[in-house]
Amino acid sequence: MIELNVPKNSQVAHYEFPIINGKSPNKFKLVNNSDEDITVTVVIEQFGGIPDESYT
Amino acid sequence: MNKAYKYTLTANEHKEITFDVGVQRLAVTNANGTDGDITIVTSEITKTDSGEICSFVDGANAPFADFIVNIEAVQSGTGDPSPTNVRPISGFNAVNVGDISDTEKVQYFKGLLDGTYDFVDLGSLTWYYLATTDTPVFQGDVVDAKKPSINCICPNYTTRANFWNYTGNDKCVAFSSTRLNISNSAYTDATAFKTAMNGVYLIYELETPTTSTITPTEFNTLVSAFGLQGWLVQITMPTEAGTVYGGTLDVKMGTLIVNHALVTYDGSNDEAWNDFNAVQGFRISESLMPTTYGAYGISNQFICYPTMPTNMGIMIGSNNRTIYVNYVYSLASTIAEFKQYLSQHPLQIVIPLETPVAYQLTPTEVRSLLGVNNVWADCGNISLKYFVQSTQPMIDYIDDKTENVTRIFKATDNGGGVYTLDDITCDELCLYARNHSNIVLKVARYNSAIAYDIFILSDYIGTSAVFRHTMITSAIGGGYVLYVRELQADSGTTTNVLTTRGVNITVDT
Repeated sequence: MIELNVPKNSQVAHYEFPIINGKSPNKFKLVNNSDEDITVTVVIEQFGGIPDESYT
Repeated sequence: MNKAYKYTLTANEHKEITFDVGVQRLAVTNANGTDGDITIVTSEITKTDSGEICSFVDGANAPFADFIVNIEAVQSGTGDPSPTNVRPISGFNAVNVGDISDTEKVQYFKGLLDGTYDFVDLGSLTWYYLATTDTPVFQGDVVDAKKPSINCICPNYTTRANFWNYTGNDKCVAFSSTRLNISNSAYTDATAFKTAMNGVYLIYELETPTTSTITPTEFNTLVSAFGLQGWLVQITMPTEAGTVYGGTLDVKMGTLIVNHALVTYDGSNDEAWNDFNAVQGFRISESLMPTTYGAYGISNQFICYPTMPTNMGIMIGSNNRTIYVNYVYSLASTIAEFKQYLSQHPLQIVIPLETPVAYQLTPTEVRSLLGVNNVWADCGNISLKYFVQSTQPMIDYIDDKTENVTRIFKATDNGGGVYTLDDITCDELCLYARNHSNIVLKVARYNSAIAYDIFILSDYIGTSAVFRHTMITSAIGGGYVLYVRELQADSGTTTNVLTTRGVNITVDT
């Protein structure tokens, strides 16, 4: 599972995951390190590969 | 198409999320707020086509909404399968999907994948000059071509039967009963002609169909040489799926569903055949099959019938998952004899699977349709659906964040493809969003239970006006909804600045 730190308000963070042995990640952990409730939007910009929860 | 998901995280919360697809690129933003203020809707028009070749002649300029290839097992040979006409069954380790822009030439290019046609670089042939015919010809040997034949095409020459028997037929091509004949009055020397023909391709029908070996690179070379647009996509089946004997392949989404399998009976000890003398045959249980009577299937030795055959043949399936092989006592009348027969003549049967198996492949890039296109696959029929940009879009105006549609503008309101709420254009809207870092443009499928398919974040709109315009117009043309919302950076609350200005949408036709 891959941990994603949520950026500050209105900023966008991009992550890329190369397909390894035909597999790519499908399980993530969103981490809110702030003391406030937040709304997070996650955009899958490109999908592909066989889903692998153990992708690291 | 991008997909977006929204989550609410409380303070210091860690939330695990799982998608049903593998992810190659991801964007995460912390965009507090609620849904938008303006919704612009185009009426969704979809067109579908299905069959061996799907053709589009209206210049649809949008990606496929669906692109499904039906994979079907194939049998070599012709005629009804029988013990005296065994037709071996084969499946697919890879699927080729082709497309060219020329409707008249599609059969030739399709033939390159089917193994009924092949191609040759004319510069690779040995040529002879024959000046004694009414129209002088250069003759070359193409050993595997069908002869005589005019089933060939070449961008430099016109196909014409027996043209050498008449005068004045320059720049023609055809096969006589022995050789390829080409007329070209610019040359009288075979060596010079051969040199000039380097890089000139001929596609011709084969005397005997074979297994195609054409590669995407070769296909693309031919498409270019013939001055066409087109492509060939080769999709390799995942190793876990093995050879596929039946299923569906979603080319757009990269999803493979395997719903048939090949079973081979060779009379081995573990095959529990039962005698079924009421129909002078034998039957065997197959646990993989559904409890369906007369399910679709094929066999290498017998015709498969949807009901119990009354002569030699097979019925696949029943409520006790049984395969029936009827009226074969002429081949073998006891189980032992039948097993011995199978050991010498293995019986192949493609059966349906009660539980289809799904595989996620790397999605294949399927380009937008531009102009006239003809799409096909080498493993069975295909079905396509694509969006056509509406000439009569509707604009739904959601007032003041209530999400109630208060106004609907149809084409009749303004006509001509320009629809006005107020005085801001689509491009201006994008530019506005670009210049205000807290704008979020959200595009979602109209009337869909899915929240949003695309989010266009202001920080992510990009600097390219072309990109912005493409994103917005393709979204609108694809029957998507455009939400516009401005977030106040300071307070995180939502304001409604654009509802007072409105939006013009210009629809390209």
